[in-house]
Amino acid sequence: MKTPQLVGNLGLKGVDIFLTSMPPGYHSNSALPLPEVQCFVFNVEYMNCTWNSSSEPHPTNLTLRYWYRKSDNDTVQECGHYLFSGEITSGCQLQKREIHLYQTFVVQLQDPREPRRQANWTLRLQDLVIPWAPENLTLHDLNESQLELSWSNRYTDQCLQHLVQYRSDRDRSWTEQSVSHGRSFTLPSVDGQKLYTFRVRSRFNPFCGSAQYWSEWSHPVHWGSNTSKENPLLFALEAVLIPLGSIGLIISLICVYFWLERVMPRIPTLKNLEDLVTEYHGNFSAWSGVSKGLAESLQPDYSERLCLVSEIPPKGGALGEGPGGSPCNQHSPYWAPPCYTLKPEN
Amino acid sequence: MFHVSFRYIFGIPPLILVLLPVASSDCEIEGKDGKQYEKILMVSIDILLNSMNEIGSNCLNNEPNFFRRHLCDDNKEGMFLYRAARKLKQFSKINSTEDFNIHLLRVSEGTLTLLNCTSKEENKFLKEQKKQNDSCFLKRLLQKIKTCWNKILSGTKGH
Repeated sequence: MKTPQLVGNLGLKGVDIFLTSMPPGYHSNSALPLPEVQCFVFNVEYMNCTWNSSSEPHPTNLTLRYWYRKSDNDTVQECGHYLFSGEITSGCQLQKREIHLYQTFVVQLQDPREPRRQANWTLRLQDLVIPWAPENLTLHDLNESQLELSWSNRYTDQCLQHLVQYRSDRDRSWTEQSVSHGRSFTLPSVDGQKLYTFRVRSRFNPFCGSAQYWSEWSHPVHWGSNTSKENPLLFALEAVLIPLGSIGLIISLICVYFWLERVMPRIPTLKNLEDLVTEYHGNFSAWSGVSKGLAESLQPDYSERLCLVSEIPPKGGALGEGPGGSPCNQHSPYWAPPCYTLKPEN
Repeated sequence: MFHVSFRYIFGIPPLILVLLPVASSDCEIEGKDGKQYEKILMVSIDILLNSMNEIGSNCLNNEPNFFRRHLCDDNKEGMFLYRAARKLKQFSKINSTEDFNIHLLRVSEGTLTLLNCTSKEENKFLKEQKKQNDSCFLKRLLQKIKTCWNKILSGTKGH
């Protein structure tokens, strides 16, 4: 009787699952699902295949076996280096000599207490490679405005693609750029007043494999001037208030000047005095700059009796009388001369 | 002594004749810089595999005979691709969508174009499993072709 097999795909690239079915007569109380095994090949130096040991209802040291599918007589090997979570096995580490990227890799997880409880996973290891992060990031100026970033990887460059991220101290988010070939990236224009930060990560894709996971980010490298970040309030003060205030002050001064020009006449200077005769023909108002209206406004608009005050001379005329005995002798006391009325000229 | 001579005369030459194809030089492979693979072959292979995503849940675990006999082993990558590409061409004659056939031919013809094989093998190896035109085999064939190209472009041996 042919035992059916259940095969599925987790959706992970490089992974196909094959679960061996239970033989006839196997009871359901032994059909507990096994945790999923995930394998990653780190820079093709070693591989870790791990599972979630805490998902087991009872602590169980599950065993891992693997082989490379080539023929019917594939050599099955048990894990020689288990990884532990506490006291329980939770993974297996394979060394470089045990890794064959381009051969179909089959890993089997088994419960030693119930040998029928086992599961296989078929993996394409070239899709599960995670390279080490790029190193030795170096920046140098190509010219005044161009900057070149270069780095190194600990794996064949042909097999890797890279992702460069950079930003300045004025940017809120990173700018990304893919690099498919080579280990360098050129930034066409940079501002020397800003501080730039660069970082790179790599992936085993697409020539040598179709890995989906990127490496860790490299250590960042910086370029530019380390100016202190401006206080937004200070920036608003410097960039907005001061210019506006200055413009307002200038406009105010201009307005005041023109107002004063209208209100306050020019003080005539002596060197221009002969202009009064030659140019203005004695017209004092025009020469002084006093407007006609202002000149008229300075004319008195009231009448006032003008009284000359002098002393009345004593009786007897001791003080000496002039011919005609002038009543306007200013030097005689006790004499009230007649009053004159000063009327405005029309 | 007569038995020894008999063995050398009638034993070794046939052995040489049998082993000669194995020891003969592999196909020359062009496009090792990966440009044709990246721009044409990989694109079509991924489109075909994506269209067959649901296939696999009912596929058997057993390795088909074709892949037991023909492997992308060291120094034999070209010959494997040659045979796999010719096998792939057979599937283009099966009723499927036009786009599917276009990508199939792109992979098969594109691969054959990049190969320069010295030994012109007959189609006898294609006669085996000729009836195996199921989707499971096709999907695995495409995966094997892609894996073999990855190996060639990595330039590594023994991986």
